[in-house]
Amino acid sequence: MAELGFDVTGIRGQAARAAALGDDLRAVQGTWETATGSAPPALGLDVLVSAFSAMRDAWSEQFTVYTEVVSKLSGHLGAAATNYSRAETANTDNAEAVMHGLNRL
Amino acid sequence: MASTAYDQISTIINRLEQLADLLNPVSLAEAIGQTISIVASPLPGDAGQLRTLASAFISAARDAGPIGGDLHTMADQKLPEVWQGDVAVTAAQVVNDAGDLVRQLPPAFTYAGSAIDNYAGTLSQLEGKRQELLQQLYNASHSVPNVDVFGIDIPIDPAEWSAWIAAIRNLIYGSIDLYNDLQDAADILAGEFADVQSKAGAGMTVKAGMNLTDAVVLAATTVDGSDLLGNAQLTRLAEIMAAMTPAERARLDAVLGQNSTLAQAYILKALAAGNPLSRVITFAGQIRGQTNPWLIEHLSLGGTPGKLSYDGTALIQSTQTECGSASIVAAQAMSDPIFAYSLTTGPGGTPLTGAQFAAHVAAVDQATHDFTNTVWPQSLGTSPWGVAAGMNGGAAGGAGNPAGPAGYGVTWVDDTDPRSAYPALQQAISAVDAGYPVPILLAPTLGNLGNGMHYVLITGHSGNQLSIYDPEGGRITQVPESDFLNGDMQAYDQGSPHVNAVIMPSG
Repeated sequence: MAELGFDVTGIRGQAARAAALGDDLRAVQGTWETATGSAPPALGLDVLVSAFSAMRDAWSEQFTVYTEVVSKLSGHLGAAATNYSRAETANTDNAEAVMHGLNRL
Repeated sequence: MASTAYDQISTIINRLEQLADLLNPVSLAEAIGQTISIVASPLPGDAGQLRTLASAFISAARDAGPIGGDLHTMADQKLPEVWQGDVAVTAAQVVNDAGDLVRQLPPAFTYAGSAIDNYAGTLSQLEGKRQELLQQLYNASHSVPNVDVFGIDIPIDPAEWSAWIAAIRNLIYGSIDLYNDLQDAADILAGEFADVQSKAGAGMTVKAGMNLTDAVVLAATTVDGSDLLGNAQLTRLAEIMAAMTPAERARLDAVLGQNSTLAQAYILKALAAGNPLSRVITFAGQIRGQTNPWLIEHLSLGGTPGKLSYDGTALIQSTQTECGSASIVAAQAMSDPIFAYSLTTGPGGTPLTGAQFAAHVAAVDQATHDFTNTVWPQSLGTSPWGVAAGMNGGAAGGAGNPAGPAGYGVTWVDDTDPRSAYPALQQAISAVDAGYPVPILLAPTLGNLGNGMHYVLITGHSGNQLSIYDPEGGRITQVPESDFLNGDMQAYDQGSPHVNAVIMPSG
């Protein structure tokens, strides 16, 4: 359905794909954070604990950036699909109203 | 499991050295006892748990691998213009850049996993060595003859005593090697963690206050394979942007919106370098509409791969004694695009010819030399503290020093002592990974500040290779870290292989 030039189904598909990628990233992040959260004592030396913690914190933030970008994209695409769909519905209604008016003439 | 202070290992090494130095027939039994009490404690760390930790990184690398590619696939599809509200950024660009960033995760995590696994292997090996030493010390404690200094004089063959002392000294030296090896391995792993941390620029930038889209786009902008803005610059930029008033931010957004993505990155890099907003806005107008190759040649001196050059002319020292000045000029050109622009264009923004560029650089080198050498004779080059002052002072006309308010200082290096050279190398690598160029002083011998000294600039780092700019020819070449550590920087100056000092950013 692309009467107004928008492939609403395609955009919905892109939104769903972005959401799925976001879920994949969150799953990787969650597994990694759980597996690495209690690790520092195993490193033994304080300099290693501190360097590891700084590195892990930075990558946790980095993961969050990934997931937020993808979530933002998914949200925007979903909203765009909804807006385009509404516009098409309004367009169809208008067309029907015009046809109805024409028939009454 | 509590962590052990790194300094405690240094204390153990000092204590063992004292025991080895003071060995004599009377102290022998006591020395063995004290060494046993030290070596009896297991080494800090748990190799088994570390291997599990390593596998968590490897698994995450494997699982995240396809996601970057999937994001690129999405970016290649026709995406509607849904990214409203952010400046001059399309959805496809953000998704593509996010894909680029996600693709950096697998190599970074594989590197981290491998580094942790290697450390676990070393720790296991050293722990085995410790147990062997402990057993040998126990055996010795049961076999060594006792001497009663207050009682009856027992005749003992002096040769036998010498043999015992030599044997025990060897065991103590073996223990010292054990703890030195542990510290070396820990130094390496800490540096590797810093390497991996430096790849997470977008996250650190968002944490510092930059909006998500800007952080993703900037962190993904590279020139000739290197990040255009290092993490230190991204963080400083985030702080500067967070401190802007809405009106200032609107002025900046307006000029960003008129420029290409790469030009936007250069504009923001100029802001991160400490230039005032008004100057940055003027600069944005000066580079508006220029192509990417033009921007890279004029603002990164990236006209020729493997060199700092412009219009076919390398950025080189103008005289035999200006390697320090040229290193400062190169560092500022790499850190501040407005300074680079001033080197490559004349009044009104007219691009210079290669010959004009060389003449202009020579004048800037001389001005820099005048600034750095207020006492030190120019005929001797530039002193390390003069180079630090030049890096800090913006003598070459840059907006400010690459390190910002923290500034550069001199770290002396003794490359015959790994405990001096290794920390200096790691600190330099961390600085370079964060985006700071780092000058180093080479000389024929240690402690030499006279004939034959030569400055070069560390400009990048990847794996165990350093990228080093040499002002003598303008080339950037790859040098193994081991050359820095072993006093073997022959690639530059066969007569000056030793690293004597590193001009290090403090921030």
